[in-house]
Amino acid sequence: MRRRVGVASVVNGKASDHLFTKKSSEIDQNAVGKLGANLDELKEKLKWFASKHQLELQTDAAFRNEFLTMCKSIGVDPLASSKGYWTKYLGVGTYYYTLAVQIIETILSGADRHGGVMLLRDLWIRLERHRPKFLRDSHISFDDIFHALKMMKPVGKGCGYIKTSSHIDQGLVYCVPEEMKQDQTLLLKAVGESGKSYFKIEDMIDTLGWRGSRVKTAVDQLIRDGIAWVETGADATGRQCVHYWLPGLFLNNSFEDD
Amino acid sequence: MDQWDYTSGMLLPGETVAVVQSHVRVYNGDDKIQAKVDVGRATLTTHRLLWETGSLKTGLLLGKVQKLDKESKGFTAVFSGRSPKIIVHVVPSQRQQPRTADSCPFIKEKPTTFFKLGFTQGGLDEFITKFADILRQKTWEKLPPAEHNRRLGILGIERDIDDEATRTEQKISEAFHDLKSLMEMAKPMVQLAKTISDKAAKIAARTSEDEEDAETVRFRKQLLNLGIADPVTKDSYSSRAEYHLHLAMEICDTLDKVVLDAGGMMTLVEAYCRINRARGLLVISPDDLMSACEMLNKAPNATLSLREFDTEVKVLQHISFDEDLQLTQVLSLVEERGSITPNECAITTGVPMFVVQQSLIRAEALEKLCRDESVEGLRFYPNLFLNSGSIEAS
Repeated sequence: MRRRVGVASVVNGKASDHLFTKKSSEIDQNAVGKLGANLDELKEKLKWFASKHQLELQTDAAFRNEFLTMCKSIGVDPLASSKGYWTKYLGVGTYYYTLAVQIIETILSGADRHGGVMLLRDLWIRLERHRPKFLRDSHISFDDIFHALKMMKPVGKGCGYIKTSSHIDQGLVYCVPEEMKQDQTLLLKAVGESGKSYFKIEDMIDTLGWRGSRVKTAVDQLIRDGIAWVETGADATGRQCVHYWLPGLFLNNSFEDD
Repeated sequence: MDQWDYTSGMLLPGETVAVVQSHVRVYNGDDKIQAKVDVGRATLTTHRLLWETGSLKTGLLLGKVQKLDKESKGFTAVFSGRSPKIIVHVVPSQRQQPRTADSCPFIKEKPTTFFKLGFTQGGLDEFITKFADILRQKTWEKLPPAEHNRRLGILGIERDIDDEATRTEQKISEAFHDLKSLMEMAKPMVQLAKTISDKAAKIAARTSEDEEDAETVRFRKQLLNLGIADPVTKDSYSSRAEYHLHLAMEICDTLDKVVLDAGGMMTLVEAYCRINRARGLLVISPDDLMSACEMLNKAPNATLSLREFDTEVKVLQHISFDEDLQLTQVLSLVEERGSITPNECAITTGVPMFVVQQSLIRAEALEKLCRDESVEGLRFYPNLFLNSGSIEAS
């Protein structure tokens, strides 16, 4: 006979004694039933909240952000399941699931050029241009983008944001197949902070304080992933030198071809 | 004359000026008013009758006017002076709202049901005509207070902006207040759910569970509804909702051809985009996708399966994807060309970079290929160290 364990055994005491510690008797006998009743109440409250504020959630970025922060503080992830109450009654999830699709598609569409790494600013401009008509007056916030990227983690570890010491929109968003190694992110960060879209190995050795071989390894990985391009040429004195370019950081990214 | 109010001198929203006349004397009933200065400028607007003198600015809402009369020259005219006058009959003010000196400029005057406007320097005819028109049309009722395109001047615009900001601020603070109240309701529920969940997890960890009772299934659903991570679920398939199984079947149907066309393999990130595009408005979460993919091996006739590489990259792999075939193709290409980069390989075979890279790396792991990483990128060569007899160890 199969022993059935689970929640019922917790509250009804069906499991054999040795499984119970003193603590488990602290659970109210009707705990699960009570939870069920409470959830019905919560459903009603959510419906009421939705009728009043659903539009604000869709249009006010600060409100949205506050909502997510508060959920986190009470220990829930409203974006976890599209079947959860938060999405079902408030539509919070739908906003971010759709935004995530747009973010990924935008980044991947330019991947043959920049390897999946681009400036947050460029991403944001492109996303804003493709807003549906009825949402034209409201804007996507950077926080929205960060939430959406974080939400993608279970599905792909290669999505994220690299913060630079410059303004927030000068940070880099990326969507690559493999998780970015720390050296790569540090290198990208350093280049982002230099304000230029290219670098030389020597510069990075100075900036990062690494050994040449360590910089080289990171650079080679970036080349292999199509994030960095190589330019061999001569500098002003005629000496051979190599420049590495990051197309994702190009300052005059054209927005005509979307 | 307690129907009169103090005014700011600014127009109301939507209010426009009809006629202005200076040197108009105001009379309370038939008597002169008690103020030292009783002559001022009268302005008739679509909403009010305004009267200003010196620093005194007053106004009367036209809704309080019952009727107008022109004073006939006669016995009373002798007493009131020579100037032609308009008699304005007003509704008596309600007793429930006694006026104070702060709000009423003519508080000292004895109560009357009419007042007079004396036009000491002419202008009566035009004034009374316009006055009658406005009273007939009841223009103060027609224009809604928030009609933006009737604003007058910068002051009107500024007031607009302020009103909007106040309304928005009120709406937002109300929204935040409601949000707080919502969270306060949810918090104890979440605590309760977590407590039950933890206890159940401890028990489950000590036993091997074969089957879960209906209550547990229901409880897990509740956790899902609330968005709480279920500590027990992670490894056991039985607790996946039926929903995820259906979703798994849907994924197979929708993405089968797409994955095949993509070379037999597709990253989950891309699959996420594709499935949501296909679903239109009923988008799913990344967690939903993960849970569904984990159930692919339970879905009947599934043509796709979930695969995770050492690099922790997750892909959907088509059932027909033959790794060995891929490998052979790639190896023969390397033989043919002498060496190859993933990019070249992808272009030639028409298979996506990602897939090709996996094959090349696998070939390297099987010691069939060697890599050469340089400033020019990554290139693969046949492994001559092991596969050619001409290199002797020395």
